[in-house]
Amino acid sequence: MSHPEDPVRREALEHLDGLYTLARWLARDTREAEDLVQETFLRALRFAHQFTPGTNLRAWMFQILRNLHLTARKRRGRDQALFGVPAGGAEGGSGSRPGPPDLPAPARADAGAALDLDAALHRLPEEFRTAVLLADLLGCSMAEVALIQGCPVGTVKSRLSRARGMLREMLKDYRP
Amino acid sequence: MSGPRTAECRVIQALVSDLLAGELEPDVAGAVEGHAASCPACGPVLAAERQVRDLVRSHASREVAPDFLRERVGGLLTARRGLRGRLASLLGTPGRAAAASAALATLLLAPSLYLLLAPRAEPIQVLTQASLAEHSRAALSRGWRAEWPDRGALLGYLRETLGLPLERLFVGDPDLELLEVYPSVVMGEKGVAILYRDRTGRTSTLLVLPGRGLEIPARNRMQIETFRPYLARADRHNLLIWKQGDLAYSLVSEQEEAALARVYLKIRKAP
Repeated sequence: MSHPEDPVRREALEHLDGLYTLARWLARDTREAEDLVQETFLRALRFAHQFTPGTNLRAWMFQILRNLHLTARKRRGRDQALFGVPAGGAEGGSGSRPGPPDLPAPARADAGAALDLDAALHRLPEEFRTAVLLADLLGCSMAEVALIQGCPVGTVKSRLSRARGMLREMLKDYRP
Repeated sequence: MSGPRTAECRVIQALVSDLLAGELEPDVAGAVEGHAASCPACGPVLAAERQVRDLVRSHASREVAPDFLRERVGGLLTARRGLRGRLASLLGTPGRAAAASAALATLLLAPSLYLLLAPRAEPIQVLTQASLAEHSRAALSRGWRAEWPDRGALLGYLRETLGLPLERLFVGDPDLELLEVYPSVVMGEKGVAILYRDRTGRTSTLLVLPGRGLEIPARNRMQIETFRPYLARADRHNLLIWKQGDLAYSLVSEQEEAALARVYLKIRKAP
């Protein structure tokens, strides 16, 4: 007889690198990303009974991770407001973390190009950035992205298209 | 680049994301590619989106989880489930209704198994486990600590939340370096968790919550001067639990008993 946790215990580790990649992009801080990933696995085990075996474990875990990140971001905003510390930070606000360098930059070597691209991605609104990362970097289908972001597939298409347009504009002087 | 010229262009451009995601049937994909190849409006749209997609795919940072994280997560996944989970697995209970049926059947057939399935833990045991869990969580939430404002704000929060001027305790004492204060809910009660570090670098957690209704058993008491807090040992940690006024305190640490007793006295005698 199987236990609701069994599929999670068997298969979840396969998605560790993808989850860690998304966590690094969302949190922009190594330690925070590590905690985010660990908490994602803890939640997945705790709520394994809510997962339907045979459905998409990867999308379910990405969804948990993103929701944890958004909740933590909201909580930080509340704490910072309570203590009078300026809000902002990871999502392009005017917080304590340094923002990305000015874009676009002229044509340059690959490493520079990657830096420019990373900075441009960080300038996108979170829902646009996450859609692009999930679809283009992590190979999720649009249905998976829709599940993770909790929106219709049509919204995902629109976000992808607009995000790519914004990236193209930011990187218009870049020559690969 | 220009907008769609015709109704066909609108359809084609709406399918660009599907095409790039590889989610179109081959004949439809061919039709979209064919149209884009000869259309001055759709061709650049497809080329631009494809270029950005390829750029993200090839240049955006992709991470490999560090080994220690892989080991830690692997440990979580392979850790044995608790007795309740293992029995549930044996009984095959995927849903709550099935779990209730199985538990009822088990109750009727084997009262001793029922006791194992639904042990009635004493509140002190629940608090012990909850304190350990809170301590572990606090020790892992390293990134969050940096987000908190200065110590003065932390101490003010502590005083306002507890109604106790504990801040004096954490000033100038190398064994009580305040790291973090945050709200916590233990046993359904709103409380406060205080994370501090001693001079050896070990972190400890002090939980303070409403203590009404918490009975502290007479056993397992540690004599510290005239006080006798409850002492528990679990998972390489020592715990001291006591009541003071209407509040319950739970101190979790890897410190040895003697060092813990010294900290206990400082807290117990705080003005």
